[in-house]
Amino acid sequence: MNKLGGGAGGGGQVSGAVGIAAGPTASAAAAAAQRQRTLLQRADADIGSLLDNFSHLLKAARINDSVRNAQEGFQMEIHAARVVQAADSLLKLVSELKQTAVFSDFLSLNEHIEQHVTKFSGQCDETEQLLSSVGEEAAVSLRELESHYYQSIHRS
Amino acid sequence: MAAPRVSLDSLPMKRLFSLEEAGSEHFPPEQTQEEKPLALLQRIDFSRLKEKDSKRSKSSKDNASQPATAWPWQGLVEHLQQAQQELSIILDLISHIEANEVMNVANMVRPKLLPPQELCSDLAVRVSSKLQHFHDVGNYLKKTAKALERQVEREAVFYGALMRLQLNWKVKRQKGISVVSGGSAGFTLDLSLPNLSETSSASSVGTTSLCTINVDQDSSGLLLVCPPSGRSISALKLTFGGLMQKRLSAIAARDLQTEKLVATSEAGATEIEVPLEKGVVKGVEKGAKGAHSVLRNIQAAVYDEQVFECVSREALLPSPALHVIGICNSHLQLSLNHTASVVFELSPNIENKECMRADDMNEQTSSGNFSTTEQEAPSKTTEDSHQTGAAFIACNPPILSDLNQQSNLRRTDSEKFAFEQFYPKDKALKICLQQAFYQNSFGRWIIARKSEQGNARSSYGPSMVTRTKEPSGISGVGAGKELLASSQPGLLRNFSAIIRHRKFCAEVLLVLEKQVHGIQHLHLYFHPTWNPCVSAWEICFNVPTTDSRGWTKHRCWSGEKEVDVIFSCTIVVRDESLCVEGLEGLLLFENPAKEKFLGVHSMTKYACSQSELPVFLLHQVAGKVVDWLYEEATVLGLNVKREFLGVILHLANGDDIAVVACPDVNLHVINWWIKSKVDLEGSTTNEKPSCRTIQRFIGPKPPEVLRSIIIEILNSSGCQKVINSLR
Repeated sequence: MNKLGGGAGGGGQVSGAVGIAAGPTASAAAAAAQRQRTLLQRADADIGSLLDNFSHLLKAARINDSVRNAQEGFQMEIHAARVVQAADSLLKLVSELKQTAVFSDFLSLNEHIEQHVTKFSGQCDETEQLLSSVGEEAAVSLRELESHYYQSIHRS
Repeated sequence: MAAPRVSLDSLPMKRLFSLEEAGSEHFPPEQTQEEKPLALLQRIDFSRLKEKDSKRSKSSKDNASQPATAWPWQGLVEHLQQAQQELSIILDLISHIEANEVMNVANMVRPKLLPPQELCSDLAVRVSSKLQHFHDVGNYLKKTAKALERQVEREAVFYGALMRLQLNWKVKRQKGISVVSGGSAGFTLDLSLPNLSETSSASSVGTTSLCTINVDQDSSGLLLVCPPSGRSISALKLTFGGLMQKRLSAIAARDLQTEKLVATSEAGATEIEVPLEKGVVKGVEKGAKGAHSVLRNIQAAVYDEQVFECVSREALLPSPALHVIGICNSHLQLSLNHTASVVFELSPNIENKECMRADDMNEQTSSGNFSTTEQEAPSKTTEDSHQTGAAFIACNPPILSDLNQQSNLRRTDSEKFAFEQFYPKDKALKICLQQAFYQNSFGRWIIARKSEQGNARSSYGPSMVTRTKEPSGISGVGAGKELLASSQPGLLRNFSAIIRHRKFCAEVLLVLEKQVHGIQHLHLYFHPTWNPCVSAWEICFNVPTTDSRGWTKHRCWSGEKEVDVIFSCTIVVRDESLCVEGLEGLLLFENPAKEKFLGVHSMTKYACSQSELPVFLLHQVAGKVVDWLYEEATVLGLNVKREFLGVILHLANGDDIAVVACPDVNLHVINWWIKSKVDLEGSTTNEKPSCRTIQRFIGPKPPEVLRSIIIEILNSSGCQKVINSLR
């Protein structure tokens, strides 16, 4: 959300550069689109890096002379590290997407809040009815107890 | 020193090692690469150097004539030095050869090609080395894959719990802080109430710091929520200004707090002891549940602190009904219209309560932080402040506390009864205060929202607090209508009005109960009004139904037994004003104490004070019973005259017998007398000066007994007999 907000400023600049009539909504939309492109590019780059390095690993399976083999051994280590780095980058991307999902899914959040409000209002009404019925029952019971008390022989 | 000569073999032939008799020759074994330099070294001729050395030593011996005790390793060292020199020469030679300065390499033999089996083994070696490389890379990738899986699991646990929390709490993200396992997760939870943003300047720093809660993540990804360090979660407590009540509530609160502490410690222990299960769902549930419970406690503390601040702010406003007796950071003591005092307290830990209060008192007396305001009020105020001051001081020195304890223990039962009678429960009052604060803070929002929803759906009923359900028998009870609604400002004023009303009601109820206990057939029924500042009781005076009844009867709800109601009224207390309503013909007196009867008035309402209530009720009941006796005697055919609180029966023989009521306000009973003027000679004429008055006290009697006395008088037709029989 904050990143989105930060991006909104940048988007605002971009939109301001593009057109004066663009409002905050348009700049936010532009920023969101920009962010989406950035995320896609990052995902593509990471996946491409992962595939390239893995293919290099496979290519290094060819057996050459001992000197070349030693060189390829070092290269394999580097390619494996790059594969891991690309996977880690992808995971970070997923983490960012999760954060965005947590903080930017206003539609479902609002729906949930509405559901909560409805539920609590219902509970409030039920509680009020319950309290009123309890109060009335208590009043009736008290009246009955009072009359029994005044009719009992122990009273005098 | 002369340079040694180096001789190289011109014919590098293999020399014979041994020769057998049969002619077979044995050659020395092939020298290895390590042995070759040694052999070369052995071939260096050191004979000349030896000779030189021997000559030099001899000459030195002769010249110096010193003892020949040479170092045993000296020769070895010198040999090694020579060997080094020779080696350097050889290396120079080799370098020259390699540089082609002196010699040229005429021919060099190419290395021989390996045989096929050796070629295969070389390939196998390379394959195995490649395989080893792949094994290493595979292990590395497996390790990192496991680490990434753990990271995915951690994030799933954390974000799952965070998403659940977001459904109920306001989650904010901190800029520039990335999620790190085992530390801050870069998220905060905002627990501030919506109305606090409007009055943020008025809210204290402590509350603001408690409103922002950091979200942490442990090493296994479990979401953790911890209150800010150095801040304790406190709770609001209400205590009335008596020591007794304070102790009672302290004991109850201690029990409750202990339970809470046990519960929290158990929860904490389980949180610490139980490791995170591997399942993501369990981790999510565990993190969300733990965070929910902690956040609920913190939010309750925030709410209590807000209530306390609101009460403190309103207490400092000038008000005739409220006086601040003592105030400090977490304590506020108020005098409510000089009739009751109440202490609001934010206590973090009940076990340290006494010590904290003593420390606070010491600090405040030393620093002057604690301000005790002297009330410009009548003597009752000073008494009140003395009482409450004693409550404070009693907690301070232990000796005073013990003395007060001993003296108070004697009065425990009576004080307990009095407190239970006059003061409502502190927990109930706390709920009332919180509800009033809620209405004050959110009332407008709720009402606006409900009106919106009501326009849309019109399905919601009236609010519990704003509802005023009045009994049908009470008219105009709605003076305190919607007392707690947001339309009326002044949370503390309403609260103090409720307390004062409750206390006044308890006192009125005490009077009524004494009255009911003193008079037989007088029944007291509680009348629910569903209004916090309006209370009502119904009083009925019933007489069991007789066969010969000739007056208007009312039906009183009294089970299945039919009774005649000869008196009924409703005592209504609005705030602190008392009113008797529902009267059917009010007996008017100039002053109840003077007992001067003015007649019967048709008014149905009578406003009186608390002290006048027992006198008023006794006289009204006595008058109604006298009315009842008059009617009864009339039905029986007697010549009856109605007098002030009495009836005079004119008997056929000329005697006059008066049955007179005499209300005793102290004992809350109606005593009865039978009076008669009897002639000394036996004739009962009032005009004659020789007559004398006979009166007998028959005490508090129920109406049916009085009726039977009248019947007996009628049957006996002689008061003397009756009076004698009553002795």
